[in-house]
Amino acid sequence: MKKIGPPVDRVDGPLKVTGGARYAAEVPVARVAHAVLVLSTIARGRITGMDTGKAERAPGVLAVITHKNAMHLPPQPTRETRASQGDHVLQLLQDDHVLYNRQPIAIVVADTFERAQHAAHLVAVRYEAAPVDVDLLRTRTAARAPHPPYHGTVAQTLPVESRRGDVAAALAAAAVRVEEVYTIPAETHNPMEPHATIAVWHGPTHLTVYDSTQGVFEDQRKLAASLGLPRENVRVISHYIGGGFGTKGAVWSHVPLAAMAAQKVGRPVKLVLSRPQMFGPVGARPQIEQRVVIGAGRDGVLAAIRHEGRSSVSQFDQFCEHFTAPTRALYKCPNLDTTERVVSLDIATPCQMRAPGEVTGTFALESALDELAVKLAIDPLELRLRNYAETDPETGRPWSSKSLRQCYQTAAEKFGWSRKKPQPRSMVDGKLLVGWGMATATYPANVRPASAIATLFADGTALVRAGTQDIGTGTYTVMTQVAADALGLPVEKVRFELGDTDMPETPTSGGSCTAASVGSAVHQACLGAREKLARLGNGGGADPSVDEPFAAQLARHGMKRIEARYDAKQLETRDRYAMRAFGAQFVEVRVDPELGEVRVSRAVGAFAAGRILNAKTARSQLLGGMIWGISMALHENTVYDPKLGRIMNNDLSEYLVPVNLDIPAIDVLFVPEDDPYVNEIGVKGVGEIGITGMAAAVANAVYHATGRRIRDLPITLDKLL
Amino acid sequence: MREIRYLSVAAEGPAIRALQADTDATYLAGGTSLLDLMKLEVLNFAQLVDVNAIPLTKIEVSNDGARIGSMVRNSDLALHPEIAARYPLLSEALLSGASPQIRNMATVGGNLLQRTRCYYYRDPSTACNKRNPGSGCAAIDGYNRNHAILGTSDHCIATHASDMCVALAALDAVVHTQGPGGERHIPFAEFHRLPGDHPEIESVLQHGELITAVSLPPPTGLRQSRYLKIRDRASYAFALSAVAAALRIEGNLIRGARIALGGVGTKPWRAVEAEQALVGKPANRATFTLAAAETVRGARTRPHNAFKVELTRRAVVRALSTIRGAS
Amino acid sequence: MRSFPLRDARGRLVSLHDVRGRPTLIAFASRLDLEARRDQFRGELRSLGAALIVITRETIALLAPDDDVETLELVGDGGTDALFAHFGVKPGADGAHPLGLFVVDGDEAVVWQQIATSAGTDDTEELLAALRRAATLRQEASSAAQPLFNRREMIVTSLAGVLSVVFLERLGWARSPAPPAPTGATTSITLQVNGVTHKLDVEPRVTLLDALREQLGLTGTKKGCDHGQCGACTVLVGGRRIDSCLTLAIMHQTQPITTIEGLANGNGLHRMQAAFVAHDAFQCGYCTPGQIMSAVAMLEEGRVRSESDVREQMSGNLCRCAAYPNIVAAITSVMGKG
Repeated sequence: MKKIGPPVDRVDGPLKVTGGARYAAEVPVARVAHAVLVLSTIARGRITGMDTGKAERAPGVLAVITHKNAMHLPPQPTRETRASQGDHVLQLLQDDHVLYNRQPIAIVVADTFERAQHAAHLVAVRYEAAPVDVDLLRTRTAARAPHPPYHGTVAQTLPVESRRGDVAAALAAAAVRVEEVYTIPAETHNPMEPHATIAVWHGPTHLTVYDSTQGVFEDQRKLAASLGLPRENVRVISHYIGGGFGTKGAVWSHVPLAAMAAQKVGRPVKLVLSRPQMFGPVGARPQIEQRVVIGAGRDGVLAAIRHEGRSSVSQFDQFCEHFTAPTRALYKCPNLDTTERVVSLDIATPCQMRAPGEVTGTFALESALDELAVKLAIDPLELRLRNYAETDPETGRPWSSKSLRQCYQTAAEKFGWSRKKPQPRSMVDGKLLVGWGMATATYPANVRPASAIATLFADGTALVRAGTQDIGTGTYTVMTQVAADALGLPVEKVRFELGDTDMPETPTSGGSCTAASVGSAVHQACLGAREKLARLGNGGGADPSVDEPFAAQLARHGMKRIEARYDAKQLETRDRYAMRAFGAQFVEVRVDPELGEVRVSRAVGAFAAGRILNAKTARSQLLGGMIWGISMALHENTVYDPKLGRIMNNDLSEYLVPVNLDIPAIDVLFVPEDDPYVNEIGVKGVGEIGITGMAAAVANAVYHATGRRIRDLPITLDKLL
Repeated sequence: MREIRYLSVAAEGPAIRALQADTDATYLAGGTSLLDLMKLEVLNFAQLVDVNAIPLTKIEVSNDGARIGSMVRNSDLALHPEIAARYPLLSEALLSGASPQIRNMATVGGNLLQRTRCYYYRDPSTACNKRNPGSGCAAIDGYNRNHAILGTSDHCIATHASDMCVALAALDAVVHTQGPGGERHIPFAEFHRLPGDHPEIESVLQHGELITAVSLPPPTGLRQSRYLKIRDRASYAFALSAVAAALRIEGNLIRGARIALGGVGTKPWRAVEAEQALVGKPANRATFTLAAAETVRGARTRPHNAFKVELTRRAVVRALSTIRGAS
Repeated sequence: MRSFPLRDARGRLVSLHDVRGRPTLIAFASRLDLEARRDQFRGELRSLGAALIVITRETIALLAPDDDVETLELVGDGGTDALFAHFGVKPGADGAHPLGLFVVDGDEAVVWQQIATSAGTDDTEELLAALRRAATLRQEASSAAQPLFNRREMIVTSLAGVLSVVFLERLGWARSPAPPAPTGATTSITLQVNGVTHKLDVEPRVTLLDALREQLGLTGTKKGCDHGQCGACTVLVGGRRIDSCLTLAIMHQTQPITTIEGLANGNGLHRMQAAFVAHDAFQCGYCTPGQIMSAVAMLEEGRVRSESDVREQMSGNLCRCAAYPNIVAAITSVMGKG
C-alpha cells in the first residue's frame, strides 16, 4: 500500500488557493434570484400579524413568503416517524407558532442580494410572546429521559443509562472520593462558510440543489420528504464545503425554504445565511451539566464511577448528548452508573458538534480524574496507567487494536512530562505561572455502509466516484490515494469525484466515518474493476507473467472503458471487537496571576487511529481538533439573553474562536497502529479525536498553574481574578 | 442596507454643503463602522457623502506637537516614524485595535466616532435608547459582560469601543472641525458626551460638521508610556479593560502622570483623580495601587461586568509598574 | 443531469460525467452536420480538451476528441424543443434557431454562453471556425500541466475565457446575456480588477465584495461574516489589504484591485499559493484566499521579524479549521526564500 500514507498534497489544493474551488453559493446559475430569511425576534409565542406590504413593494422584490402564503407541505416527522438522527422537525412556514428565537418566519426573494436583504428588514411582525426558559443551569424545568430513538452520535444508537456492579456500595467503601459538577455552555459551530443553498427546479417535480452539506443523501432524503417529492426527483450537489463540524450534518429549515422560494418565483434561488443567522436555527452544542463521582483506593485504582448529567434540547425535537460514552469505555472500573437526561428549553434544536458526547464527557471525566490524582498525590499519567483497560470494560470484548499506552509514552516523552513539579504554582516563567496538564483522548471507530464506482479508461486513467463529501477533511485526496493504490496507478492518473446524489450512496460525513467507510468502498470498487479486467482473459497473447498495464489490456480487447461498482457492507468482525481510537493530550499554559489571562504555550498530542491514509491531511485534522479543544477550554460560549431567549453574541467579533496569535506550536504525533479488524483498509478516522480530552488537559494545566480548578467552561480571565 | 444616494467630494466645502442640504446624510470615510451598522440597519442614512477624496491625509510633527489629518488611516498613523517615536502610546493603542485590514481602512476621523459593540445596540429587534431613543435598555438587565462601569446612566451602559481614543484622551488631543458655522477646536475631554438622558447623542459634533484634524500637544515627559489592553483572546478582540498610561519620573518621584481607560467607560475615560493621586508620590506599587483604586471610584456594575472593577485596578497597577520598570 | 437526460445507442443513460475529465460544449442549431466535418471538429476539440454535444431539432450527437460521433436520444417527453427552450435558444422571425453555444462544467452549470442573433447560412462552418480560433488562443495561453483532478476545472475556466474573446471578435453574435440589470437606481461604475477593466451597473450600496462575487463572478474572494470580523474577504486595493465587505464598490474606481484570481498573474501559482498547498495551510479552504491575500500584503508591509509577528499580523484572518500553525509555516517558508 505505497500510495497510502505519504503526505501527498491535497489534490484540490491548487483550486482552493486560486479561488477556483466553487462552494455552494458560487455555482453560476442563470437567472438566479436572491433570498433572505426573516427570523423571529421572540423565542416563544405566536405571530399575530405580519405586514409584508412594504417589503413586497420594495424595488426588485419577487416574493415575500410567510405562513399565510407558503405552499402546503407534508407533516414534519414525529417521535415515531423520524427517519434518522439528522431528521429534524423543521420550521417551514406552515403555521404561526414561534418555538425559538431566530426561527424562520418568512423568506424574501428579490433580483439582487441587496434588495432582498433590505426588504427582509421591511417585514413588520407582531407577536404574542410568552415567557421563555433558555438557561439549563437556572431552569426549573425537570430533566427527563430522552425519547427514543436516542438522537446520538453517528453509527450507533447509544444507551442513555448503563449499570454495572454496585456503585453505591463501592463508593461507600472507597478510601477516597471525588464528586464534582462540570458545566459547558452552548457552543456554535461557525464554519467559515455560512450555510448556503441554490435551488433549481426543472419543471414542477424535479429539483436540483447546490448545498453546503456534510451529507448529500441525507439532504436529498429530507428535501424529498419535506416537499413531498419522490427521492429520485431530487438531486443534491456539494463539491466544496467551507467547513461543517456537525452543523451541516443535518438539514435545517433554510434548505427546503430555498426550494419553496424557487418554486414560488419560478426562478432558481440562492439563499445564504448571514453570520448572525448562524446562531440559532442551524444547531449548536447543547448546554451541558455533568456530575462525576469517583471512588478509588489509596493506590488510585478505581472502585466506582457515577457519571450523570443533563443537556439542553428544544421543545419540539430530539437530541441527546451522549457524554457518558467515553466513561463507559475508557478505564477499567468494576462499578459504573451512567445516566443521561435532557431538559426541554425554548431554544432551537441542538445537534452534533465535533466529537459530540466524547468531547463533553471527557472534559468532565478527565477533569475529575485529575482532581483524584491531586487528592491522592499520584501523577495524573500514572493514575491513568493504573486503570488501563486492556479490554472493553463494558462488554469485555477485546479491542480490535489499542495503542493508548504507546500514546501516553510518546506524548509524555516529547512533552517532557517527567520534569513536572507536582505542586500547583510551583512552575514559573518570569511573572507568569506555568501549568502542565494532560488528559486521555478517545473516539469510536465508526463505519457505515458506503458504495463507490470505479471506471478504468483506455488512456490509462481512472475515474472513481462516490457521493460523499470533502468538508476540508481531505476526502478528495485520500480517496485518490486509496484508488491509486488499489489500481497500481500514480495518483496523477486518478480522478476522484464526489458530492453528488447521482453517484453511489455514502454516509453523511460525521462521526469520523468517511475515510473508513468510503475508503473501504473505493478500495473494493477498484479491486472489482481490476478483477473484471482480469476475467476478460488473456486473449491478446500478452505474457501473463507480466503485470500488463490495464490501458494495454483494454486496448487489446478493443474496449474504451471498464467499470465496477461496490456496495459496502458492515464487517462481521465488528461484533467481536470493541473499536476505538485513542490518544494522549499534554498541554502547557501560561497564566498571568494578576490579570488572569491564560495562553496555551505548548501542546503535544499523540494518537493511534489505525492506518493513516495521508500523514499531511491527517495531521491537519488532528491539529485542528486540538485547537478546537483549546478554543472550547478558553473561548467558546454562546450566550442567551435570559428574557429574550436570543443569542446575543451572534457574530465572529463576540463569539470568540482563536485567532492566529492565540495558537502556539503544537506537536501532533502518530503512533503506528495496524488494525486488521476495523475495516478493509484498517482506518479508524481522525476528524474528531483531536478535540477530545483537550479541554480537560487545558483546565488541568490551569489548575496546576494557579491552584484554581475551573469546572465551568470557558476558562475566561474573570474566573481567575 | 437601505437604498442610498452616493456622492463623492474632493473638498471640505462641497462636503459640508451636501450635508447641509440633507439632514438624512452623513460622511463616509473608512466605512468600517458606518457600513457595518448600515448593513445591520442600525444606522439608516439616505445619503452617504464620500470624503475619501478630500486630501486631509497629512501628518505633521514638530516641536510644537503634532497635527494629524482626519483622513489618515489608522495603520499609517501607527507606523509613522515620528508618531511612533514621540507618541508611542498612540501607536501602541492603534496597533492593538481591530486587524491589519481594518486599520488600513479606518480613519482617524472615523475612529473618533466609532460606535459601541453593545450586543443590543447592534440588534434592531431589541430595546436600545442609543439606537431608538425612548425604547429602553435591554442591556441593563440582559447580558452585559462587555458593558461600561464608568459614566453609565439608567438609560445606557454601552462601552465606547475605540482604542485610539483612549490614547488621545491621555494625550490631551484637540479635535479640529469645519462646519456650517466655521471652524471649531474641541478639547478631547469635551468631544464625547456621557449618555445621560440622551445616549443617542455621542459627541458634540453638529450635523454637517466635518472633522478635519486631530492635534496633539508636545509629548513633554510622556514618552514613558504603556497601552495595556486586556481581552479574551490575544488579538483582534475588543478590550475588557484597557489602560493608557504615561509617567514622568524624576528621581523616585512622579512628576507627571496621565491615565485613561478603555473598555470600561461610556466614553474614552480620562482618570484625572488617579493622576492627581500619583503626582508628587514615590513611584512604587503602593502609590500605583492607591491610584488604581481612584480610577474605578464610583463604578456602577451589572452582574456580568462586575469583574471589570478589579480587573481595571490590576491593569492600572500593571501598566504603571511596567513603565516604572522600563524607566 | 435531469434537465438533460440522454441515452446512448445501447440504451444506457449518459450523464455529462461520462464525458469524464472534460468540459463540455453544447451547441444548439437549426442545422449542423457534425459527421461531415468530423475529423476537423475532433482536431479542434482535442486542442481544447473539450467534448461537444450538438443539438438540432432532429438529433443529438456527442463527439469526444478520441471517439466517433455518438447519437444520443433524449429520455422522456418534450423532445429537443424542450431543450431549446430550457437553454433559452429561441427561433428567429424566420422560424430557424440561431446558433447557441454553451460551456458546461463539472457542476453541469453553464459557465459561459453565447447565442447568435439569428441563424447563420452555414452554422457548421461557423462553429468550426469559432472552435479553431478558440483552440489557437488556448494554445497561446496554455498553462502548465495540471494533475488530473484540476484539469477539468482549469480547462473550463480557460475555455470560457478564450471563447469570450472569440465571440467578442466575431460579428453576428449577440452579447452574452449578463445577469438581468436590476431596474432602478443603479450607477455605471468601472473597476480595475486583476488588470482588467470592468464596467458594471450597481446600486451604490453594493459592497466591493458583493460586486466581485455576484457581478463579476470572481467568487474566490469569500464572504464569511460580511462585517469585518473574519478576513475571508481580504483583497488588495492599491496594494493594501482591506476587508472588501466593509467598503462599497463605487468607492474604488480609481485604484487597482487584486483578488486571489489575479494573484499569480497568469503564471501558475504565486509562491504564497504554492506554499499554502505544500504546508497544508488549510482544510476546507474557505478562509484561504483571504489568508493568502493577507499574507502577501503582510510581507509587502515589511514589519515581520519573527513567527510571533506573523501570528499577530495574520490575526485578522480567522480559520475555523484552525490551520494556524500550518499557515505560519507556509508564510515563514516564503519569507525564508526572500
